[in-house]
Amino acid sequence: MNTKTKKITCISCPFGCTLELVCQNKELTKISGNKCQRGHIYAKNEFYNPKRMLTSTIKLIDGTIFQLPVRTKEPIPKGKIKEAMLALKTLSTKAPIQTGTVLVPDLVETGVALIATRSVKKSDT
Amino acid sequence: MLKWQKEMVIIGGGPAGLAAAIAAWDSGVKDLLILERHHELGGILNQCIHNGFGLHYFKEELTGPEYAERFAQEIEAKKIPFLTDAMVIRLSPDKKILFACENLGVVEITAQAIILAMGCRERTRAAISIPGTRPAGVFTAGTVQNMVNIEGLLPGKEIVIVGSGDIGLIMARRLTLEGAKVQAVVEIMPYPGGLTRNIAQCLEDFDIPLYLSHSIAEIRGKDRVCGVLVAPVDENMQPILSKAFPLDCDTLVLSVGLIPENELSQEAEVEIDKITNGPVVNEFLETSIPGIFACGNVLQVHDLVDNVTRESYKAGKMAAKYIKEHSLPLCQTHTKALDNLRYVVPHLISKKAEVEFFLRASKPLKNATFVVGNNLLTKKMREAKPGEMISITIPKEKLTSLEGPLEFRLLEANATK
Repeated sequence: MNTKTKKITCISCPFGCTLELVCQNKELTKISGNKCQRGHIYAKNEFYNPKRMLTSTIKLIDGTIFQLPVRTKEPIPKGKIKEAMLALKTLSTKAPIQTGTVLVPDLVETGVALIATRSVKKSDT
Repeated sequence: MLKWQKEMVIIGGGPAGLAAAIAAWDSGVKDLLILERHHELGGILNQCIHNGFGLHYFKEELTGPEYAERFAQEIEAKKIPFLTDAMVIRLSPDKKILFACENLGVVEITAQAIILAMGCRERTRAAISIPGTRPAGVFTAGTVQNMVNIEGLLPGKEIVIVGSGDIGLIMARRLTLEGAKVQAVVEIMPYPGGLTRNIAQCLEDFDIPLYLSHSIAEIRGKDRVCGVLVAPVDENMQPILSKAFPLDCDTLVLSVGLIPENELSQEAEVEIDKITNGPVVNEFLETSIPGIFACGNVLQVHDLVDNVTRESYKAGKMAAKYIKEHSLPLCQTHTKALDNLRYVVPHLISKKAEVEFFLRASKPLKNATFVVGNNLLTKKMREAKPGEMISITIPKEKLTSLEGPLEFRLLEANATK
């Protein structure tokens, strides 16, 4: 049997636990080092399908600021990040806008929405 | 000149000032005013567009603007008075504040209580004395964060980051996502300055090399940075030039620490702790001047905004209590950070109530034991890191019987070093 151990840092919270993953024949068999259940879930996701939340900005028209901060509502697969960033480059939206507004319902076929992370009023000028 | 009287003035409308104002308002202080020098509330959180805020406080993962907006909305909903574009230019020991803003000119406020919530600023190239030429293209990480996230500008294409503080790590990822090439992060200490999870998700995810125990021996370039010389350092933190190597870059980003912004506090003759660079405070977060309180990064540089919020709620509550009762209980017992601990806040306690302490380790330790007083309390710590603040609440019963100063120690494991 082919047993391997791997150490990773949990990014679920600022504690940053060191997780030890044991895998046998490409299956995850043991997770240790986590202080909470979220670490367990993170380790599993990280082993089978690593995901990250993407935060960035898109162009904002008529607002009191010019860049609207945005994020994916949930983490998206790591492999999709580059494609998502390219998609964001072509996006723009108009003020006024509210935090949580869905800007793209399904970002680059991840099934995850892109949302605004701040409210911006319309500019007077 | 306009002259006002207020029960309470809060200097700064970032996360600390907003939380302090809400707590004071909820405690019954309605004659208060927040003074914010920027044109909107929220402070630096507005440019921190990354996620990771609010996990402790809101039990959900928010970005900086989302976190700030929750407080700004509460301020607006409660109709708590605030002024933006209002810069405090003087603070005196008798609690007189002079501020300037476009609509009102210069205004003097006499306040019964003042909460210092001015936050901190970044250390610059001059603060760490990097040798070399003085070309354009050397920025602090916060400036770069403002350029990229607020202005929509990319400061350069080939980046070297000095210092592994959290903002530097976050910007390494951000600049990479925006198409720049981050050549390396160079850290003079043998361990990273930022949170471990930021090393993982900002550097390792993007294969950005981290050079620990290395420093920038020279900045090169005439008009614009064209490269840096990176050298390992010896045990005295001096660069070993024979082992130095060059890295090409057009931009150098500094993430080399934060300094609490205490010019106003010093002008008011508030006593400053030389280690934290923030005011000396008692368990009520009151400074050496009765009625002047401090919270957030102006008091001590926090790594989590959640802790800033908690600390600032307390400052707001205590300042309200001060207004109601005209004074707070005497705090005469000193606290001391010893073995492997760099500092402890608060500095003075009354021994009559439970207190939450914030401490920082002076170096990374594994399997350490945290000891309070003469074994008043001990706690095993699997890992202690300078980049991650330690917080501990000590119940009243443990404190009442204490004699002499309250000492904190972080002891290394006996067998292994």
